[in-house]
Amino acid sequence: MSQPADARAGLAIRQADLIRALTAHGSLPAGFDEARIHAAALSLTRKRSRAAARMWPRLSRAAGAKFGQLFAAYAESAPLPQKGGPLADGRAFARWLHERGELPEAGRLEALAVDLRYSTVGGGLIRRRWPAFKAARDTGARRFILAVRLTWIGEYWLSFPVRGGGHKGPVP
Amino acid sequence: MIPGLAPLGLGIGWRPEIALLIERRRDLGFIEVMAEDFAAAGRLPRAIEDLRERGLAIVPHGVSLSLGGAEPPDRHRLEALARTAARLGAPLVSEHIAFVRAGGLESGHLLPLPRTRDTLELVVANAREAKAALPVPLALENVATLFEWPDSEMSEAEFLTEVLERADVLLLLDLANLHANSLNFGYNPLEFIDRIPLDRIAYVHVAGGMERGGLYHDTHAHTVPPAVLELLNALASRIEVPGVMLERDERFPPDVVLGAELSAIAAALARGRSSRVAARNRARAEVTENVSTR
Repeated sequence: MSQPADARAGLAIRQADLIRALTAHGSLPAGFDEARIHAAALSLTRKRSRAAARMWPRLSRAAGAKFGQLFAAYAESAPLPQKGGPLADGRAFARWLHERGELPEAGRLEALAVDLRYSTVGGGLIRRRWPAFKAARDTGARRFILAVRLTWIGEYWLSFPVRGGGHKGPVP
Repeated sequence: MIPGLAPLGLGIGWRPEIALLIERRRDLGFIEVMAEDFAAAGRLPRAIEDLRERGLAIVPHGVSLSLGGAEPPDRHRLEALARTAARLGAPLVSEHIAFVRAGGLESGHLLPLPRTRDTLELVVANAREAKAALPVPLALENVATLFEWPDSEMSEAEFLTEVLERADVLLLLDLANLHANSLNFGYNPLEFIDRIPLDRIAYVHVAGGMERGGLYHDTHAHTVPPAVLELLNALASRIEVPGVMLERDERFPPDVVLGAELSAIAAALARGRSSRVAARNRARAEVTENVSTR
């Protein structure tokens, strides 16, 4: 069947304009009801925020009531990742918080766990195929964490106290 | 009733948070799973496998094909959906009459289409392509929206009917979406029901929502409003509804509350069905009376 190529090209442009308007990156396309588009944009951001919070329970608990507000600020400047869905969105949010010095410790460890399994590519997250090794300093509990993921075998987390004292025991 | 497709009965969208409720509930005929979450190869999660062994049908519900998108459906996504259907032993798969991405941008949401002749051609072509790539029948769902495109030439019912008939696909009628759109755009949902091909219904969605800022939001996070159950009752009084399921995605209430909601859905269905059967019996009795008094 012949495809109306012009119609496809025209619709692609109009649909992309609408997505930009809805995700707060673009101006309102002609003819749309501004209040309705605004309401839809708001509801999209809320939905995006809730989805990311579900995939990042420790970060969302640590951020508490501020999560929604911080996420909305992040979402305004960051389009939805193309790969990896809400998990990838939350990873980008964690990076955004980190750059502002606002990433809570629990979020940093959660990001470590995600990074062990996924690598960040331009369009989002893709699952790692090869062994990965990550290290982080947990300043709150004064410990140093080494995490290793081996293909087929599993994941190992090691925690070392730093400067005497600190916390021993299972890593959360 | 769809030829070759057994009725699904009462169902619910499977989510890990309500897995126990689903396992305990003995009157379910099917579950719907998020297709994209089950695209991996290998063994199914134990909970899903158990339900399958119990004889429940499992319907993968896709949200990423973007059949209303300007681009033809992505080969890899279609192949993944076909594999998922085979992996689940699904009797059918469902998707939406909507677009989710354009020009490399993901919206993260099912967005409405401009209901023009041109768009109709594209959706029909996309839906046909999807149908041809799938091993089981495809049902398409009407979506909820808070806004409309300015240049729509057809009503929602008209556009939906044309897509279904010309692409020759089944209908997943979402009564909560219909309720939402009828409130937000001021039309009569019963007139909508009377204008669409009810014989193409594979199954029906119901869900809850809430009003915010003068608009009704289809949230899947609140109780199913009585008006949606009334629509189900009305639909069941017109046709034998082959399947109906609850969609609940967030703010899960205690199992006993959600269980009561499922029972309310079953009751609305039964009410509609019995009024249809009673009407049919009355009509038969009248015919018999007319014949005998002649």
